[in-house]
Order: sequence, then C-alpha cells, then structure tokens
Amino acid sequence: MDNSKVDFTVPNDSLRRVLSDKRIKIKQMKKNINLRYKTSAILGFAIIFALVVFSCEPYEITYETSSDQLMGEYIESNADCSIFWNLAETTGNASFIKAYGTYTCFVPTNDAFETYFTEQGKSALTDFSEEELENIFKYHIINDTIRTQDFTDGKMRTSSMNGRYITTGASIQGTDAYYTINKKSLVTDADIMLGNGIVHKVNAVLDPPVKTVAELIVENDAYSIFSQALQTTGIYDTLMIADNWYTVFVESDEVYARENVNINSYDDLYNKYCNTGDPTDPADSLYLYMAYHCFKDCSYMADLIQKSATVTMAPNEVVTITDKSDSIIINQTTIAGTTYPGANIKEENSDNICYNGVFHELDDDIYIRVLSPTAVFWDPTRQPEIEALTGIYKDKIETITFASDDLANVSWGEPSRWSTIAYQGDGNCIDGDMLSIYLRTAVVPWIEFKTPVLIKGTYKLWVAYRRYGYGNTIQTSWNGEELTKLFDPSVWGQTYNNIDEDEYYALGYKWYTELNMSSSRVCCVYLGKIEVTSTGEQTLRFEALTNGRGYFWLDQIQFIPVDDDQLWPKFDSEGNKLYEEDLPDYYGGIEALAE
Amino acid sequence: MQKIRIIILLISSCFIFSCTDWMETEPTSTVISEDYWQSKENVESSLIAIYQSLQDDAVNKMFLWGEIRGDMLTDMDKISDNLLHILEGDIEETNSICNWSAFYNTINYCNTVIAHASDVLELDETFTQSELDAALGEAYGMRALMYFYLVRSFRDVPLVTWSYSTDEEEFFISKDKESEIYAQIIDDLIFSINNSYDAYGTNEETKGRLTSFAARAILADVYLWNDDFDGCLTQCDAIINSGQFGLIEGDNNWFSTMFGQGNCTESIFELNFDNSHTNPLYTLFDYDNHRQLCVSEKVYNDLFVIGKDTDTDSIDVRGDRASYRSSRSNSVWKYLGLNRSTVRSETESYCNYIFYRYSDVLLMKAEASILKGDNETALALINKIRDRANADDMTAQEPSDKKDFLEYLLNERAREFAFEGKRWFDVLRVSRHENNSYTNYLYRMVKEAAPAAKRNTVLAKYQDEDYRYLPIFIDELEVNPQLEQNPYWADASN
Repeated sequence: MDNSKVDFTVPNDSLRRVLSDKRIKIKQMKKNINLRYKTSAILGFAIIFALVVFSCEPYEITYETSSDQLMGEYIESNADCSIFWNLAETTGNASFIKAYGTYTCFVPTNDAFETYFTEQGKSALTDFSEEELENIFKYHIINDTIRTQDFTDGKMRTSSMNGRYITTGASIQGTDAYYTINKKSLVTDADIMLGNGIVHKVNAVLDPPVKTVAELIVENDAYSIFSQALQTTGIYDTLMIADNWYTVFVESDEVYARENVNINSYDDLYNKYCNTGDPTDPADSLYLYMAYHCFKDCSYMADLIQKSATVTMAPNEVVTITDKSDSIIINQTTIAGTTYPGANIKEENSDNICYNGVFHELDDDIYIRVLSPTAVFWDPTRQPEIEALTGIYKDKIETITFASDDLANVSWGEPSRWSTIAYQGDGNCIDGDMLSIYLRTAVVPWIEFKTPVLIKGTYKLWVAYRRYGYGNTIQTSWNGEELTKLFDPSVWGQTYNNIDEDEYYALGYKWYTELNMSSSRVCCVYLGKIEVTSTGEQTLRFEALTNGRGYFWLDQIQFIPVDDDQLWPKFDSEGNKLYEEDLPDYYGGIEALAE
Repeated sequence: MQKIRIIILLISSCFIFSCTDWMETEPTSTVISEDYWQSKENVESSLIAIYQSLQDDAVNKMFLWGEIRGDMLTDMDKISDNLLHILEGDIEETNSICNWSAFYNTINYCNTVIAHASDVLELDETFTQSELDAALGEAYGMRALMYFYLVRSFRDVPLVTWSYSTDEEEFFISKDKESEIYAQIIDDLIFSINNSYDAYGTNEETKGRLTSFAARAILADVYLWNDDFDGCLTQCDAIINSGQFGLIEGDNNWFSTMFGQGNCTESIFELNFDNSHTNPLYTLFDYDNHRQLCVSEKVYNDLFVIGKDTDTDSIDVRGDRASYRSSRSNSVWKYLGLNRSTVRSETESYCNYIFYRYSDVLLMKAEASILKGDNETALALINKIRDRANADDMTAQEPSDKKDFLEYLLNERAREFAFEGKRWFDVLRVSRHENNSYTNYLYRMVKEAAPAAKRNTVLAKYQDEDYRYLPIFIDELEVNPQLEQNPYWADASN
C-alpha cells in the first residue's frame, strides 16, 4: 500500500458526505485485506473521525488516503468501458479523472455506445465533432460525489460539467428495480467508490440536451396549437434564450379538443383570447394566456412538489401547485368556498429535459382566472397543524403551545424560551377558540401569518379579538408595508345597547358576533384599506411597539372588498354566517332583550 | 455470529439483572458449559435467560423490523441517521438496524437448553420427564419465534439448531431457504404446543413466558404467512375455544389495563419489563429528550379520523390518548403512557412488549376466513373488534370483493395493533397471499410514506420483491464468508 498524503480543505456542508465516502472506502479496503481483522480498520476510522469532529471551521483535514484506485484507472482497466475511456482520452480529459477530486461519473458500457452510434447514424467516436464529444463527455461527469441514496425523482443536486442537469429515478424492469438516469438509462452497477469519486455504470449513453424548450415543444406534433401560439406571441423567442432556465406547462391539441375546452385550432385560441389584435403585446390576453404557462426556473416534478405556488411570466399571476401523493395538480384552488379542480401533470409526459429547462404536459387547460374580489372571514386557528390535533381541536378544552417551527404558515420572533403561542378554547370567541399571543416586545415581538388565498383587489381589513386586561400598541403590516392605524387589544368592545351600530362603525369598530354572544369582551377593529396585487396567499404581520403585560387574543381576521357591506354577515358561536336579511328585526330584538 | 461466544461468557451478567419477580433466579455458575447442567434450577435459569436476552437490542429490532417500513411513523428532530434512512426508503447493508446478532444470541440460548436440559434428568432426581418436556417445549417455541422474526425480515437465513458452548468452533454457515426455515418453525411449534405448559404459577409468568397457547398463536401466524388457512383457523379456534382469553372492555381503562399495566386477560404472550429493566423502546418515542419517532399524519388523518359530528365521548378508544397523544407532540403513547393522561418517566418505562393478544387471534381468523371466501365470519370478527373499540363510523368500510376485504382488514389491524410492531409484517404478509396477488396496498403505502421527492424511486425499489427483505448487515458478511448477501444488495444492478 503506497499511502500518499493529501490535503483536503472541506467546506462545512460537505463534511458529512466526505466522511461517509471515506467510511465506505475503508470498508472496501477492509474487505480486500482480510475479513477477519477489522478491528484495526475500525480504530483507524475512529481516529479519523475524532480528528474531524474536533477540528474547527474551516475544516482543514489532513489525512492519509489509501491506495484506492482512481476513477481514470478504474475505467481504463475495465474492458467493458473502453469506448468511454477512449472518449476521455480523445477529449483530453483522461488526466483529470486520474487526478484527485470529488467526481461522480456515469460510465456507459461499450454496448451502450454502439447503440448510441446507431441511433445517431454514426459508427464510431471519430464521426462526431470535437465539440460534440466534449459535450457528451462532460454531460456524464459531475463535480460532486452523489451516491444512489441521494437520488431523487428529479434532477441531480449539481449540474453536470457541461452545465446541464441530468435526472434520476428508479424503475422496475421485469422483477428487478433499477435506478434510472434521464428516464431511459439504467444504472447497472452503482456506487463504485473510487479514490476520487463515484462511478455508476449505465446501459445507455446520456444524450446531452442541445435543443431549447422552445425548439423541443414546437418540434412535437402533438402540441401544434400551443406551438403556434408560442410563435405568434413571440414567447418562442424568449424560450430560445440559452442563458436562462425555463419551465413550461404545455397543453396538447388533444386537451384543447376536449369538450370543456373546445379549441380545435389556433384560430379558436386566438378568437377566445386575443383582445387587442396584437398577440405580441404583453397586455394582450393571448400573450398573457401563454405567459401564464411559463416561469423562469428549471423545475422538475420533484422540484415542483417543493413549491406551493410560483409566479409565472404573466405579471403578478401565480399558478398553484398541489401535491397529491399520486399526482401533481396545477392551479387547484379554493377561493371563497369554490374549488377549482385544476390540471394534472401527465407523469408520462413530464420532466422533458431541454437545454435551457424543462417542460411538462398538462391533462387540462389552465388559464388566468378573472375573478372579482370576495370577502374572506378567516379564523387564524385554522392552521393545518392545529386542525390535525383532532382531539384538541374538537373539544377545545386543552390549551396547546407551539414554537415557531411548528406551524408552517405562521412565524414569530423568539427571543426567549417563553416565545410561544397557544391554541386556546374560549366560549366568547367564534367557533369557541382563539390564538393566544403574548405580543410584547420582550416575548413575542412580532407574528406573521400567511393568509388564505385572496383575489386581486382592494379590501378593508378587520381584526377581531377577545379583550385582555392589559394592552400593548400593535403595528400591523400588509405584505411588508406598515398600516397607519395602530390598535390595542385591551380596548373594550361596546355592546348593542350602548351604542348605535353606525356610530360605532364611524369610530372604526363593529359587532361581528351574534346577539347572544354580544359582550364587551370581544371587539372587532378596522385597520385600514389593503391592496391585494396578486391573487394568492398574502402576508399579514403584527408587531408590538410596547412591552406591557398584555396578550393579543386573536379570534378572527376579515378581508372584505371595499364595495361590499362591511357590517354583515356576523357569526354565531359555531362560526356560521348570519345575514341581515335573515334577521330583519335584529335591533328590535335588542330592545326586546333590554326590556 | 461470532458475538455469540462473547455473549455466552457474559451470560452471568444477564442473571444479575432481575426482571419481574419470576425472573429473579439466582445464577449458580458464571459460564454455561457442559458441567453447568446439574439441577432443575439450572434449567429454569437458562429458560429465564432466553427472555432476558430479548430485553435490549432484540425487542428494538422486533419493533423496528415490523414497523419502520410501514406508514405510521415519522421522524422527529433528533432521529438517528440509521432510522431516518429506512424511514425514507433507503436501506443499506451498512445500516445496523439490519443487525440480527441479538436473535442468534437468543437462538443459542434456546439451543443450549434443547441440547443439555435432558442431562439434568439423570443428575437431579426431582426433575421429572414432564418438566423436561415442558422446558423443551418452551425453548423450541422461543426458537421458533426468533426464526419467525428472522424469516419475515430477511427471508433466507442460516438455520442453526445446535448450540455453541466453546469459543473454538467456527461459525461459517450459509443461508437456508425460506421454506426450510418455515418447516423448522412449524416442527418446533407443534412440539411446543404438545409439551409446553398451558399456564405457569403466576399470572406474570403465564403471560410473560411461552405457553402452549402462545405457541398456537405464533403457529396461526406462521400458517397465515404460508397460505395454510385451514391450519391457521385450527389454531385460532383452539385458542378461542379454550375459554382462557377474552376481549377486555373498550372503556376508559382499556389503555391502562392493556398497556399501562399489561398481562391482562386479553394478552396471550408479552415480553415483560419492570423497573429493574426498562423497555428500550421508550427512547425511540420520548418527546422530551430522545425525540426520534412520532406518529405520521396517516394515523390521525386517515386511520383515526374523527367525523365532524362525532361527540367526544364516543371516539375510538384506540386513537388519541391510547395509540398516540396529539397534545404531546403526536407521540407514540403505547410506550409512554401510564394511562390515558399520565406520561411515564424514563425510569418508569417498563411497559411490556406484546407479541400476541386475543384480538390478534380474532383478526388472524378473519384474514384466513377472507381468503377462504367466508366473508360473513370475517366481517363479524372485524366488527367485533370495531365495536369493542368504539370505532368511528367514518372509518367503516363496506368491502365487496376479496381485495377490499383484505384492505379493510389491514386498516383495522393498523388501528388495533398500532405501534405493536406489526404494520409492515401485516402489509407484507397480505401482499404475499395467493402468489403475491395483493401488492397494491403495499405499493400505495410505501409511495405515500416516502419523502415527496423520492416517491417514484422508493416505489420502484419496493416493486422489486427482493427489496422487501432486509440486507444482511455488513459485519455479519465480513465474519462469515459463507453468507451471501440478499439478492437486491448482491446484484450488481443495485
């Protein structure tokens, strides 16, 4: 064993990976020496481990590497991979895969190359241009060590050395499961750990993408209507730009021909949407319709499911992404009680790799919904994590405390371990519950909510709280902008028999509960007009300006379009809406109660 | 398996730790060797050592092998890498969760009794033939149970039926076929049924040691795995007709009686723990310190979903505050709770690990009935379990064909035996029935349980039948060159 001393300067985040790689190497070394003398190897590992654990950032580790074979040596000595080795030599890359480094290399077998030559109408490497060969070689190698256990259903975490991504997955062939690369290439021998990285043998050459998203869509006959619209709107030219990444949701002629869509030609699409006569005008509805299908990054299926929504190339227009475990749905939304089903991505026609991105085919039409703003009465206890606590959520007896990490759609400042918020039952509140927030500068200095989906428009913002005995001054921000009105959740509400509703409204308050819940313990305060510039979830933030002993007991938040009735509906204890027309004699009722 | 030797030398230390009272048998020797076997007390001690040997790593493995590949657990922030990898569908031969050495240790204890107990017959005249037979029955039964865990988890494993008592012997043994393992298990269990005691002197021993009824329950399960439905029904009926067991009330004490205290009338066989030897599973679930595993969304959103109109007095007794505890980080309550409200401290974590209870026998009978086409019996049994537990109507199903019935059965078993180390084994067993005719449930389960970005990858792996059995842990391969890695990990393709 000739041990060579090598300096590794390992960035913090890849430390674990390198360690585990080292461990594997040791494991294999062990195997090679003698199976029965493993103690010394384990001890050796323990020493290396100890060195690493106790060193400080940046991790400058000096340790012995074994005489493990290097990638270049492995490939060269493997008769089955001679064409790939040839490729490395021809392109002048043989030396670097024989030098130390951290690479992952997909090595196609000779059979794979023969098949590739046939597909390409060539007979040998010499029939390709130098540039093509360089591109093919560099597509097969990644400057990162990626084991199969890190493979996902999507693209590699690091691009290949030609700057393009390859995708991973797995499929069952007969009775055996294989990892797959770019869908069609099977990994036949995985995780071969070498001195300078990892080799995965594959049974088909990975064909580096050379065509753009624009070209690959237009080239497909199944997308003729969509393609024509890409061209007439000029978006085709955008999608040709090689330096950017794009993701496109494509609709096939078949989807357009369906009864609910009923678009049988480009002219039908033009007639349905084009409202200015010039589809290249970014304000034209056809242009917007097409731009709505595109966004600027490279999102494979596995990337899409990590997002809940993404802004499209149509200004301020968002598509939502819903992850059902058996499909991904684009634009399924519930707005004001109506659910729009959206379109599924067709798995078999998804993740189409292009030079500058990816496209996915949808099974239904998506379009920008023109919706008028609708009031949203939101109970902020309706957080999925709270609703999941079925026992508590239903009986509303137990108080349960959350830290900021616990709730996906709510975050707050946590200067101390007391900086928690609680879900709490309270009979004065709608639906019998509220969020208890100790909103003061020293405890929970601020809290931020993601709202339900609101439709583009102007709203009035109302906040309903259960009064607490001590108060703080609270600053509200809407999508990052501070509202001018401050409020204090220790202010008493007024009861029906104390003040006239119009008068109360003029003071910036209203009643939001039904009569028999009417008490001065709850209060609904008007905070100002807010703009929703883009349909979707918005950000609402409350910040304490003082440090009094006061809780913010939050019951309900109301977003009511400016032109709608601001006083009705009100709510009964179970959260049902009460409309004025159903309760014509409400004030009479108050008087009757007073008597 | 070399570790067996070390453990043999350490056997004395096992005796030092007492368990429940009946486990407090004093050792008379520090090494089990030929001249150890002098009196019937030695035989008794050796039998107790079998149970003691299960109290650490083995019980951990029994639980994890039967549960972690299912869909009812998810990770907390301090989960170990080994657990997380399996939870995310990555199983590698370097993962020590695949280490089976604890089972072969216990098997060696069993084999030692089997090999030497008869020597005592001549040396100790108070030791009778029937006592010897019972001791052998207990040892054979326990050996069968160990192999049953191994064969369900690894498929082909080395079959060792002789004992090692010296350090000199070599242990280079190759694997035997699944069918041979099962044949041995069945032989052992039949012997055990015919020779073991029906009960011991105390209730703790009757529930905590292998009885003829425990052997029958194991055999019923073994037959189910081998599609011998008549065999399964015979064993289930023998237990049912014995009149020794019954369902306990599904009231507010259900949890504390069955899990808080343990050894209740519903129980057939459980591994006992007490304050001198606590249950190691606690450290998987404790939400204050160890924070490794808690229940998955599937549990509270699907299995124990509560209808909007359900009033709180009539919810499934097995759900919140029994199988899990929503207000305690959705923790696995079966190993943490003393009763529906109070949590155990780490020093009080001596709840038993239940191998079989009466409701399992009823549902095994239901499964065999479904596969024999007797849906009426099956549905009556499933409903009996549901009624006892006050199951929510929202979770009731109206199955029509065999496939639906089996799915209903699996869902009900998931509720009834949540976190009792059965979920993965249940789904795998059902998938195997009638030549792997029911794999859909398994595929759906692994896909839903996989991390979102790896669903298809994980699914494809499980579509390979070889991936449904664990790899042999790398250390075992290194010390025993005769062992061949299991096919998924041995194939160059993977």
